[in-house]
Amino acid sequence: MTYFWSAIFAFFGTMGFTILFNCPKKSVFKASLIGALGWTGYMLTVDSGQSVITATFVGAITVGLIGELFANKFRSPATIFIIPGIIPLVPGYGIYYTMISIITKDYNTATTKGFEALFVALAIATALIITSTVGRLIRNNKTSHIMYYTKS
Amino acid sequence: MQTKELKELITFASMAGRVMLENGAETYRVEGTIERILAARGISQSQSFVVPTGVFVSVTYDCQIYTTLERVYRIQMDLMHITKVNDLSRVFVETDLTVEDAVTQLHSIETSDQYGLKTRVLFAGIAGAFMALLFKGGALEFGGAFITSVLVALFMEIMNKKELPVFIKSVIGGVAAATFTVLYSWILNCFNINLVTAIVIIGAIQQLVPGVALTNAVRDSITGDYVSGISRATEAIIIALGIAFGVGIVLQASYNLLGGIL
Repeated sequence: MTYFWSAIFAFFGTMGFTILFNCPKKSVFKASLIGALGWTGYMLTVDSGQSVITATFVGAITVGLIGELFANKFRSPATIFIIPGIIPLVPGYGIYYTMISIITKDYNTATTKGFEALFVALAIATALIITSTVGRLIRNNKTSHIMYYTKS
Repeated sequence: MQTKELKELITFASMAGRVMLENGAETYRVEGTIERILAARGISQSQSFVVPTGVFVSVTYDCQIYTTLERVYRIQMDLMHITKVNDLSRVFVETDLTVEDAVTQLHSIETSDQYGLKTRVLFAGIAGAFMALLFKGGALEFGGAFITSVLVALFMEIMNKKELPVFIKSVIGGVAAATFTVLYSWILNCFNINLVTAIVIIGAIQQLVPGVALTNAVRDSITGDYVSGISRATEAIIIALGIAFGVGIVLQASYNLLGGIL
């Protein structure tokens, strides 16, 4: 039940950001759904005793995979699902907390929180690069025309 | 191809790249779009170099070198514009759309707006309020985060019309978020209701904090766009520092003025 409610919160939190990011109307619901699913993945991993960074990685992999799947199905760039989808996971508060610790001369907290924020960002970035590679492989098999650019 | 046509094509390609970059597209996507547009009209030897502050395109054609530069001053996340430019470039590549028509369409994309002020402000409130719940806030914090987020969003809409450096804008955002939170908790305190101020502030600053910016910075660095990566990371740090600075000032002042009640 806790998971259900936290998924609902993540859904509406993500939905708020889809409007702030000017997401196309037909993608608002899908992107919010991805945000909720990614957050559920994160929560499940945290509760199974893993670190925040591992859990973020799992959450971001979920977001990335479903995002690529939706991009393929609805023929839109994957970014419009993935950027709102990672919102509950990104270390926005972490980087803010780091800075406020520096201002209040609490350097120990600043170091801990700062590195955590950096590694959370690294986990998300790695997960998204992995999933976009997977997505590209799927697409290259299905559609050969130059719909998406592949970096050499 | 005539020199004039060629120049128009290069201008269009770099403009499309600039619009994508300004609306938050990744570096590799911008570079890819530019090169794809040029390749579709038979220019195979093109180089593009994209950093968050500018788009450079250089083309070698018929023993001549043409170079353009588009300067970028501000980057904001706008998924609608990314999608539309992406579609436009695809149509341009797959059909015989003329450069003139494409430029006209690009201009109309640049000025298009999807959601009105009321919607944006309302959803900023929803975003802040539900993020406060994710940080384990209760009903009081939920309401507080909603009100403060709406007020901060309104305030930032006014501020965005003025040309201010990003650091100053972040400081103002932080000051606004903390001030509204302190006022809210002060009003509740008059009725002997206590709430966790920190969680309300988290909700109120959610729309300002550079979480996505930091993640994109790391993404750029991993894919080898180091200049973009460093540039975006610096921006993220400056924004976070600005918000923390603004919030810190207000909290310190309220502590000194109102005492330890908060």
